[in-house]
Amino acid sequence: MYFYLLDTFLQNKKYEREITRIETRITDLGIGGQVARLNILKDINELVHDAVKRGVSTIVAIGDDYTIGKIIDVVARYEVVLGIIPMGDRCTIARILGIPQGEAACEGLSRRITEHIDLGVANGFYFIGGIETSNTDVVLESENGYRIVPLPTAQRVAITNIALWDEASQKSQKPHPQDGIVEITVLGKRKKQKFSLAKRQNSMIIEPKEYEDVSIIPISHMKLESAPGSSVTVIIDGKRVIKPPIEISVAPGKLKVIVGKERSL
Amino acid sequence: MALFRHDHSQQEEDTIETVIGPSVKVEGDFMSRGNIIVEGHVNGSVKTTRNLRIGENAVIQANVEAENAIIAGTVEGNIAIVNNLEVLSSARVSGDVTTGRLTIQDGAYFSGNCKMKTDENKKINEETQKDENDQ
Repeated sequence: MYFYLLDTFLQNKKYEREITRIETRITDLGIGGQVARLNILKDINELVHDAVKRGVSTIVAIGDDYTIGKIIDVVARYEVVLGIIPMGDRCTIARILGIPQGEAACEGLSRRITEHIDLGVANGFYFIGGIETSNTDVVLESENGYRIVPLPTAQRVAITNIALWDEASQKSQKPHPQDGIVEITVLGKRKKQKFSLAKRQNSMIIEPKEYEDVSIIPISHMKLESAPGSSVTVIIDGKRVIKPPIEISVAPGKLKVIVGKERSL
Repeated sequence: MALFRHDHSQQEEDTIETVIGPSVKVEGDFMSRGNIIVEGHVNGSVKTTRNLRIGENAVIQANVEAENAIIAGTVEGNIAIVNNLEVLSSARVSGDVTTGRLTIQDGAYFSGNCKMKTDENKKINEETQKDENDQ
């Protein structure tokens, strides 16, 4: 049984025709199910809990990376499979999992090839992409007895589970969601840009190619703390805001997800 | 970008796992089983069973252990390398060195003792390392 979660931004008229096509396609393929539209009044936990009680075994997120970020902490707590129908501009997670955009994703849902992927855990909350802060007054302590201290030139600190940036430019330093580790990424000086880039609020997409100075340190368990006297907030998957101290670890193979043929896992 | 030159393959470039950039300082004993590039600061020790590259602006106040290493920056500490150590002209090394093969470029600063590993020592080291890996 399938349960579809449609993100709020899909209420925009420009997505109307594509949503209709998706509804038709999933009915044709015999994978129809109840559809719920996410909004601030609906509790995702309650929606998923009720669906699982009714016997739903597959939760399908229709939306972008942020949609997955919104639901991942809830979905990971149940014995369900996650399906994705990517819609919108930021669908990097789906691309890595080999899932084509929009209606084309329905075939893959029906084919149902699954993989187990790692999730990160931050103070008990699951995350798929990463956590980050632009306040770099933090100290990261590894369980193996060393500390990572960003220097004043550092601009952003992130802990990433899955490569959410252009794979081609960072070929050798690509976090892989099946390796049992997350990667600390510290971004220093930005590359000079001809045009200033629009600042993204609560971004879950870090793009090291925009920076001259990138540190990448793989790790499986760590503690993130604020430097004395500073107030730091950390954003999980571009959605949830928490404050240090934060215990960060990896839940290997925690999420069972439907993938496509073109996956780069 | 040639990270590890000479007999190091393209494949090794693709398996770089750790980059300590200029905006980061690492304090304590840093250990890895993959390739490491250091462009920042390290206080403590750095150990890897693979390759290590210490960039021109890197400052390492630590003992260093690796299979192969290229040093272009500053190292204050003892260096133990299983196979090849290459000290580039921009490097400043203060500490004792133990290595299988050594290249020092013209202009490099090196202050310390140097001990070359014999084939027999190498064999013992390799066997010890193999035993450690098996455990």
